Amino acid sequence: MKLAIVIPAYNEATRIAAVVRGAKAHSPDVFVVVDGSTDGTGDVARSEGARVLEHVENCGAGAATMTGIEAVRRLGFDTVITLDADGQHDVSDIPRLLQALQEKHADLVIGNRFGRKNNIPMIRRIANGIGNAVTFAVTGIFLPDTQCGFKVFGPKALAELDLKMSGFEFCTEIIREAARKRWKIVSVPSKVVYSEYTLAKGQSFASGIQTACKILLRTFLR
Amino acid sequence: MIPMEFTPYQVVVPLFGGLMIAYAWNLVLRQKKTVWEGVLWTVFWSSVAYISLVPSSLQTLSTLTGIKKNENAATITAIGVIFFILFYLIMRLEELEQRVVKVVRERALKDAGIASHDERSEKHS
Repeated sequence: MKLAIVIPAYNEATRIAAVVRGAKAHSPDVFVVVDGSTDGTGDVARSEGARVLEHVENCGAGAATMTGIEAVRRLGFDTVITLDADGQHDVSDIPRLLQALQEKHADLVIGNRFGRKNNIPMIRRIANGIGNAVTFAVTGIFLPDTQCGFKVFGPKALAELDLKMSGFEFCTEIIREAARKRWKIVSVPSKVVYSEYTLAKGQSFASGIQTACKILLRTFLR
Repeated sequence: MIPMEFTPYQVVVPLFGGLMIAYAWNLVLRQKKTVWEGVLWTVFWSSVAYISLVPSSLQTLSTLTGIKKNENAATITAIGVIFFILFYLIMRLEELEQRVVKVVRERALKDAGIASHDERSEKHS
């Protein structure tokens, strides 16, 4: 298995060093996609030994993730893990996700923040519930946590993934790709650490509604 | 009850609906839409075709929404059309956004020294 870790990041200079250090413990090949940051996120990531790709403009989490995926594909990796840059995921879960990929012959493994005891605010639970419902409406696949940024793509998924959506709606688009290309999806309980910082950085309830509308529009007007 | 005499509207709309359903399933067969989306499109356009053929089926909807006058229905329809145009424009804007993202991505990859397969082939030849 030739494994790389991709971390899309926007203005995460205060957090990215710890996330890169944690990721490096599991793979020497860590790629940080700096999405138009203005706070020196790229320099911090570079100093921690990550390979940095810089978007000259802020394009969104989906666009940054796809840039990272494209980079690892071109460099010949066959498995990729994506992580949020705000440090909300626990990298010690990586071996369990990789184990699920191999043992269950999955193409896509998604962390499930609701599959174990995590202190998740109610508003986040509701927003995720809406995300799951919208994803089910457009893909016919129901998963307990479709909006989690902690994912592992196996060789088939990595080779076939083609994201068109730039913003947070890319999480639903990944499930749509999985439905269309018949990937096997496995959901694995994962730890999440919410803080005031991560809550402020993530999707707000309003932007979640906007994301849901975009997905529905794209599905019916395409 | 389907009428025996059809207005041009009752001919054109079901035909268009049929065309849309055929188009959707064509996309499904070419793996550009999922079966689920094909089903959703079929349900939507079948409903449109059915309503055009049997306008009295809207009686239930009229009772539910309270829209009784033709003028009100025309206003609602006009708002619907405006929304559709607006959403269509949003889609076009998003397509432009995708093109910009593609340019930004290629530049990021190039700056990082990660060439595409075509560029690598050019260098070797």
